[in-house]
Amino acid sequence: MQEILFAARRLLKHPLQLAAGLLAFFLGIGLNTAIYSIGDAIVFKPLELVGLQRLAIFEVFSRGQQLGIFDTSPADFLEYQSRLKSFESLGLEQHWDVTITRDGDPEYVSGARVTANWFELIGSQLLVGRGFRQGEDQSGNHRVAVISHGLWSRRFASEPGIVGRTIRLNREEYEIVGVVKQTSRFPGFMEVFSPIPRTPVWGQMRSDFDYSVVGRLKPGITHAQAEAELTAVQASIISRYKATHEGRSVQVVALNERVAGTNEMAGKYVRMLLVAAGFALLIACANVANLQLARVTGRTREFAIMRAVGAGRWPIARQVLIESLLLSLGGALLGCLGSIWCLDLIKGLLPTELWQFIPMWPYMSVDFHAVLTASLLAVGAGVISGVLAAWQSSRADAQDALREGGRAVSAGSRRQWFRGALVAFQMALAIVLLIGAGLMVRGANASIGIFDSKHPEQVATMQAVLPQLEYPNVEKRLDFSRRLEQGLKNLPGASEVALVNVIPMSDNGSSVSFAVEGRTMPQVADRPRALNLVVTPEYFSLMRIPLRQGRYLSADDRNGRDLVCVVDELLAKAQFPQGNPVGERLTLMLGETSKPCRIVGVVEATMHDAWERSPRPTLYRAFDQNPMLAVSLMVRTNGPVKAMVAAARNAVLAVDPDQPVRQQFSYQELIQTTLGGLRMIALFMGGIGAVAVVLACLGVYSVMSYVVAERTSEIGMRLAMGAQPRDIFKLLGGQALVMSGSGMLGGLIGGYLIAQLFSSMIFGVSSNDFWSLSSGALLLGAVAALATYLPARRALGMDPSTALRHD
Amino acid sequence: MIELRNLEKFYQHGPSKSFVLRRVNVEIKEGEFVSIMGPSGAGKSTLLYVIGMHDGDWTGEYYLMGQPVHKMNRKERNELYKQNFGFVFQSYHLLDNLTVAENIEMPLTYRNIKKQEREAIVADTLDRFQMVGKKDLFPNQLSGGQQQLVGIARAMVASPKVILADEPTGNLHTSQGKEIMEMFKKLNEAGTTIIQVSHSDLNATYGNRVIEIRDGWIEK
Repeated sequence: MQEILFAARRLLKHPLQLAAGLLAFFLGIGLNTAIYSIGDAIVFKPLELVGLQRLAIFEVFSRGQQLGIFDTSPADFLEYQSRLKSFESLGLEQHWDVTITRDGDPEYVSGARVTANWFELIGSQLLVGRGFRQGEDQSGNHRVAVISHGLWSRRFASEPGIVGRTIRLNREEYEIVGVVKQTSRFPGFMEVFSPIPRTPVWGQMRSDFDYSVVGRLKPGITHAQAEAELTAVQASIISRYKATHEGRSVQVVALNERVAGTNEMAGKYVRMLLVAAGFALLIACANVANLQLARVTGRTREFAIMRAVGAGRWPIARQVLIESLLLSLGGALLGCLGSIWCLDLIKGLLPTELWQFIPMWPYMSVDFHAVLTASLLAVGAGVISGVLAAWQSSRADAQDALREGGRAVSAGSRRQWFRGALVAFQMALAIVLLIGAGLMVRGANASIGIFDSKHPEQVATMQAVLPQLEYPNVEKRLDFSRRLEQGLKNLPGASEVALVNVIPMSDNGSSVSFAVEGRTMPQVADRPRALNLVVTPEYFSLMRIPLRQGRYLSADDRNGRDLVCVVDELLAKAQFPQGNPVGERLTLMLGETSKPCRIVGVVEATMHDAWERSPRPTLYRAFDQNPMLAVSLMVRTNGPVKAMVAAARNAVLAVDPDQPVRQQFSYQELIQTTLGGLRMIALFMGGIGAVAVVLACLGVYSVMSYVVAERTSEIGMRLAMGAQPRDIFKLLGGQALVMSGSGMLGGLIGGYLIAQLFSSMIFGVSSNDFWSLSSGALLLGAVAALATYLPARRALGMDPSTALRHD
Repeated sequence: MIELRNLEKFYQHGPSKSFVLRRVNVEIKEGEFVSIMGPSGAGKSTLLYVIGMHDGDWTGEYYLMGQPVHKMNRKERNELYKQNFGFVFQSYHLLDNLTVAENIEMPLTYRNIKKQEREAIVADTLDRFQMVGKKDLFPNQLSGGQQQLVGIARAMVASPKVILADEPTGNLHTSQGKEIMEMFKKLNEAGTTIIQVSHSDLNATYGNRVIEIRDGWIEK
């Protein structure tokens, strides 16, 4: 106990050293575990599903190009279900846009049509009621629904007798049979689940590639084994359905990789953050190790005295061990508090619109495994370096150390080398993180600002999905879109009005495959694909898309007339590299049917999704000739956009009072919301970069302070030999330059490699950005120079006589 | 050559002063070999460091060859020091990562002397101190006496007019100490003024004058 008190007293005697150590722990452990907890919520434990590790999802490719997880047809699924032996069971899911009416305002929610075994298959926990029964996924029996806990509490005030009540979905009555736990749903943002209304025809649909397959692997079966079996079954299907399936391949992906998004980007970004946070932790460890080393090597004489009065090596090592443990445990405790604080801060930062895609976000808590691992690493680094240094010091010749001033005036070169290496290591990691963070911020800003020239802040947007039951035919849909367009045009302050099936940068989109008339019809997998945008004529002027050839779509391109389309220059160049595409005809493949379409114009290519590195070929079809159930509206105004959003909402209600709308934003807000995830990643990376820089600066400063203190006698001697202050600055500067310079060089090389990697991953990031961001290394260089200058100035302020007597 | 008039040094402790040197009046002529003696804590080393301009925090007047050191700033004192003084320490203060030759060369690097010229001076000095065979050794490969010899060679390499030595034999055994004192004697006979701090009456016999100091006061 007494030893602990002595140790605490010794630590408190050097409050700055103590504070630096604790700060390193606080930042290193706090940040690391907070990021790790986010990783848990997004990738590692994204849902509370029984046996999540055995769940897999099928990802489809065509000639090696990723088509996604929603690209399986019902007939293919049934064949998988009957032939695949690697899976305990397989289920099918299709997104279902749902409008809820009655029991409150009309509300649009995301829903899923699933096979009857769905909840059993994925291991969901139902709070009330049951899942679906065998046979309920047959047309006629399908009007049952399971709702989410969120919808139950929001719309039904968590009414206990909810099971057995009816809910009006897309203006049809469904019986609620169960309530599913919020964190136990898949897809995680769905509010309503209902069985697929299967018919005999449905099971024959071989090329309706619109479904997602999820399977539960048998115990002991790996993803690779299942994929091998699936590949064999797929080959058999291809041999029978060459025209539609040639070139298609399917991969078996762990389900948790696709919970936060339909592509692998979320997982990639989370892993990138984890690596970055790991780097920050390593910097913290190096800091703590350096600090302990400095503390111990500065006490050589104290240990010599202890040895002289009869202390063995173990008591000396024990003393250092107790001090190290006290500092480390205090730091680890602070680190735990830091992680709770960090996580709370981060939770508050994510916009509500993004929560729905991360089911575990609201329930995210500090992962104590991560806290333990990070703490052990940091404590280990501190204790090991401290005790080893003490052990080494205790071996020193006591008489030598006790002589006044010692015989030599420079520190052991091996220890200096080791400390220098730790500083270089910290600098290198900090620069890599700084450059990485800079690139992420640049990418996020480039993505958010991609449409700045189109003045999205002056455009009101919202989205509606018309219920099939109310709008079963073209006439009804035409009536809705024409009346809505006219209503919007009549709004005071509306300068341009457009209807479109999906708004660019809203994280939605569908593609269409096509063939050029007059050429040999390619097989399905070889058919070119293009983004399928269905727009009203004013869309081009509203979105500031310049015309390159021919004409825009016009009001004359009405239903019943010759079907026309406009293509962008990418599609034109790819399909008609030599000639003029205007007047050429395309055959569009729309599900099981095909439609002809005459090209009337070519427009400039523009971006559609921020996660793409460049625009993709796009086809614009006339809304009046292809009235859609998905109707997004865009209204440009010169007045206040908020007022226009409200007015546009009223215009929708004027056409159909029961029609809900969603995402009522200015276009700029919509883009920012869509890119919220990317912005968050950039913010996190920026935070990690900042912490890394603080830690590295702290490390450089503490080491340089110590080096200067250790060389004070030498400085005094050199002054006594006639050295000028500038000579001393040169001497210490040289040492700092070797330490920091090698770290900076290493960091710049690492940063260059990161820039190469990021430029292939993130829109708006070029490998050339490395050069401008590398100037960030100068910041650390400047801090290193300051960290050398300040203690050196202090040493030079002393008279040589004082410096020479310094110990 | 060196004249101290009414020189005092003290530390302020709140309202009171603790004197280390009191009304010191000393004159040292060129070519003298002076030993400053006295008990521990008397102020011997402090006086030596004041003379050597390593301690600038004092009052009174100090003339070096007629130049008023007390009126000079730090830079001017430094220049004056470089031209006239060499310093020998009790604990040698050699840099253990430099060889014997490099340690000796170090003061010259602070005096704007070209590399070739420096090498020639160092070679001469090594020869004069009979250390040519040891020039590539590091300090920890030498005995204490040899290390102090390197310390003296280093102090002499820039041809100072005055050598200041702070208990130069304090860490050496008798025979090594004698060797060092013989060396000082030779240097003095060659014209170098020597001022040493010593506890040893025997070492004082090598000089031609003793300044005794007690509690900061000069006694003789």
